[in-house]
Parts: sequence; C-alpha cells; structure tokens
Amino acid sequence: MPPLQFIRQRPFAVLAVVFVLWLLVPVAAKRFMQVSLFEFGAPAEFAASYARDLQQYWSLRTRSTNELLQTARDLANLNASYEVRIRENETLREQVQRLEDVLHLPSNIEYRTEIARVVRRDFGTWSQRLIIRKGRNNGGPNGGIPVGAPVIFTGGVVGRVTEVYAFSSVVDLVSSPTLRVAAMVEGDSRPFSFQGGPNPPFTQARGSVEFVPLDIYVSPATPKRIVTAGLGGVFPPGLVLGYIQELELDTNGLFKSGTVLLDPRLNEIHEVAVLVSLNPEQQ
Amino acid sequence: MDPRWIVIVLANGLLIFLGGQFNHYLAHLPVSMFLGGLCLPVAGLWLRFRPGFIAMFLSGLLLDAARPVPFGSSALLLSALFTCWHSVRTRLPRDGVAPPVIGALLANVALFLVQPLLLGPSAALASATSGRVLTDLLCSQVAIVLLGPWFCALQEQALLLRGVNLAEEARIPGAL
Repeated sequence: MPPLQFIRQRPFAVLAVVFVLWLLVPVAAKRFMQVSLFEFGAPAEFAASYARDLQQYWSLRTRSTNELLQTARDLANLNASYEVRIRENETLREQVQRLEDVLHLPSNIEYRTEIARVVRRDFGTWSQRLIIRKGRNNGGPNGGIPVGAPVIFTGGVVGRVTEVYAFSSVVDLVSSPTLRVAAMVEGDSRPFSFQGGPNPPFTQARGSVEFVPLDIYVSPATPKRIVTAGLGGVFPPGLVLGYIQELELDTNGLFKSGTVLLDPRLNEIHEVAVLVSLNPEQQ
Repeated sequence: MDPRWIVIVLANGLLIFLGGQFNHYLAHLPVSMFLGGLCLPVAGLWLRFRPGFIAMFLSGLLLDAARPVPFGSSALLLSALFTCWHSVRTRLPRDGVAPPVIGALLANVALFLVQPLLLGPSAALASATSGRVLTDLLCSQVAIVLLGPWFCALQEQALLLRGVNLAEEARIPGAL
C-alpha cells in the first residue's frame, strides 16, 4: 500500500506510529529541540519585556519635578542609612572572619548578586514560574547563572533557578510545590519543612509547613515570620519566606503543620536578584 | 513546502505568545488562563489530515517548550485530539462561528484537565486549590469564547493570503 493511501485510510495507525517514534527519540534530541524552540520564542518575550520597561519609563517621565525632587530626597535619606549599614556589615564580616580563623570553622558560602528583570510571570494553575532576563551568556563570569541558584527580592525568597538558557533563565517560585526548603521561625533555631502551594485564586500566594515543633504557637492575629534555615546548601540562612498564620496538630501528635502566607509583592515582581555562589564546591 | 501547516503553526505560536502575555498581567490576581484548545479547531474542522497533523504536532512542541511538562506530551495530545476530530468531522456541522468555538472549548477542557497527569499528580494537585482550578478553567473558557472567532478568522485570512481556501479545502475528495 503506498504511504499516502495508508495515511488516508489509517489515521489512527499514523498516530500510533508517531507516538511510538516519539518515545524512541533520544532524550538528548528532545532536549535539543526543546531548547531550540524556547530560544526561538525568546526574542518575542524579550521584546514584550523591553516594551513594558519603555512604557514604565515614559509613565515615569510624566511625573512632576516636585514629585521627583521628593523621591530624590527620600532616596538620599535611604542611601545615608544604607551607608551606615554597609559599614556595620563590613565590621561584622571582619569579626566573623577573625572568629572563623581562630576557631578553625568552615567559612560561610559567599555569593555574588546578579540583578535580573522579569521577562514573564507564569503563575499557572499547576505550576508557578518566572522567566528572567539573565542566562548563561549575560549572567556574569564563569558560565553565568547556574542551575539551582537561589533567587531573592526585597520581600525575601523568590525561588530557585531550574533551567538556564542563553540569555534567560526559568525560576521555580517559592509558591510552587516543586520547591521544598528547610525553614525556621525567626529567633528559633529548630528547622522544619516548607513547601510551596496550594494557591487559592484572588489572594496572595501560599505555602505550607510540616514538622513544626509543638511549642510554637501562632494565630491570624499574631503570625510568626519564618526564614530559611540554611540547611541543604542552596539558600543562605535568614532569608524571609513568609508568615505562619495557623498551625494544627499533626495526626501523629508529634509535630504541627500549617499554612504560610507569602509576600503579596511576589505576584507583581519586576526585578529579582540571583545569588551565585563564589565557591560552588562548598555547596 | 506546504503553506498550510506553516501558517497554522505560526498562528498558534502567536496565540501561545499572547496567552503568555495575558498570564503575565493576570499574575497579580493571581489567576491564569490556558488557551491550548484554540490551537485545534481550524485544523480539526477544515485542514486535510497530513498538514493538519504536522501543524498540531509542531504547535504542541511550541506549547511545551516553555512549560514544565514532559517535552512532546502536548504535541501527542493535540495530534490525538486532531486525529479524533478529523475522523468524525464529516458528521459535524462546520459552518458558522459556533462549531470551532465549541470544539475549542471541549478540547481546552480535555487539555487543561490532563495537565496534572503530565506534571505528576501529587505536585500538580498540591499546587492549586479546587477554587483556583475552577476559576482558571472558567477564565480560560471565557477567553476562548471571546478570542475564538477572531483567531479562527485570523488563520482563515492568513491561509487565504497563501492561496488556501478553507471552504474548499475539506471538500476535496481523497485529499490527504
């Protein structure tokens, strides 16, 4: 039977053949196709992202001079307070270094910060991701942004880099259930497990905590801030994850579990900082 | 090279891009919409089997490129839906706006609800509440009703520019 006649008479057989052939395609070839198609679509996403930046620029240009002067004054105050903080930070850093040398402690992982604009927010039903405008070729020295790098913003943890392309990267958000991290209540050193989701509509993103010690009490009126514990080597300690609003006793009675409210600004994020480890072998 | 599948793939690429932009702006609510079902109706109702199948497979690959599902899963799903639709289309009405929109709505529900299976049911179901699933599905369906007629007309006109008349396309006897 000629192939064209076969296609006409047996569409479901063609489908089955294509299905089997696709399963037989090597993973490397599929990965190559996926990366190629992502890069094929990337310029359009970038163009839209730059157009938004331009739109923001022109909207800022409409602000009055008085408003700009007021903003500049506020920024000058903020800069002055940051100058003081930077000096304090340097002194503390030197002190930590001295103590590490004296006590022969392993030194903390150091990071460089790579600031990146958000190309697209994808807070889908089944997964929450961001695409950022920094990748392998424009994310700094030594191969740019690495897979697994933590991503933060002014409100705390944003997520973790899961895919890196030539000029962009994909970040799995902290609200996504694919992200699990060791957390602790601020001021308490006992770690427990944090996981993103489930996310309801028309409200801020959420996460959940498990294995919380029994003596931690919270209520919607007195929520507790949770931060990263620094275990696992991905996220440095002390980064804000969110606020525990309610805790319930687990069925085994040994721990508590509950809901975490994440920063509401996570849904409107424009710019993030990727923490790239300076000593990857330490991780 | 056959212009039919190229035009359909490019139009579906535009739809995927626009869907991404809608979701970017809807993220602050946060609500999202899925428009994958709209890739199907023009090919399913009017295109011959071979260009339609190629167009659906490539559109599925485009759809998968920026999503965390196994690469090629949407391509196989769209191809399967297209094959089913193509095999029964002679018994379905094809004139007017309603048939492609209703077809897209049904395809979209199927594609949307199969996502958790592709992502891994435990991770996907931990991601959203039932309220979020219903809201997103409702938003997606409303978007398809609003965008469907425009998108079908866009593909029809783009094909006409390349010399392909959809009204005659599906009625050629023995066409592949």
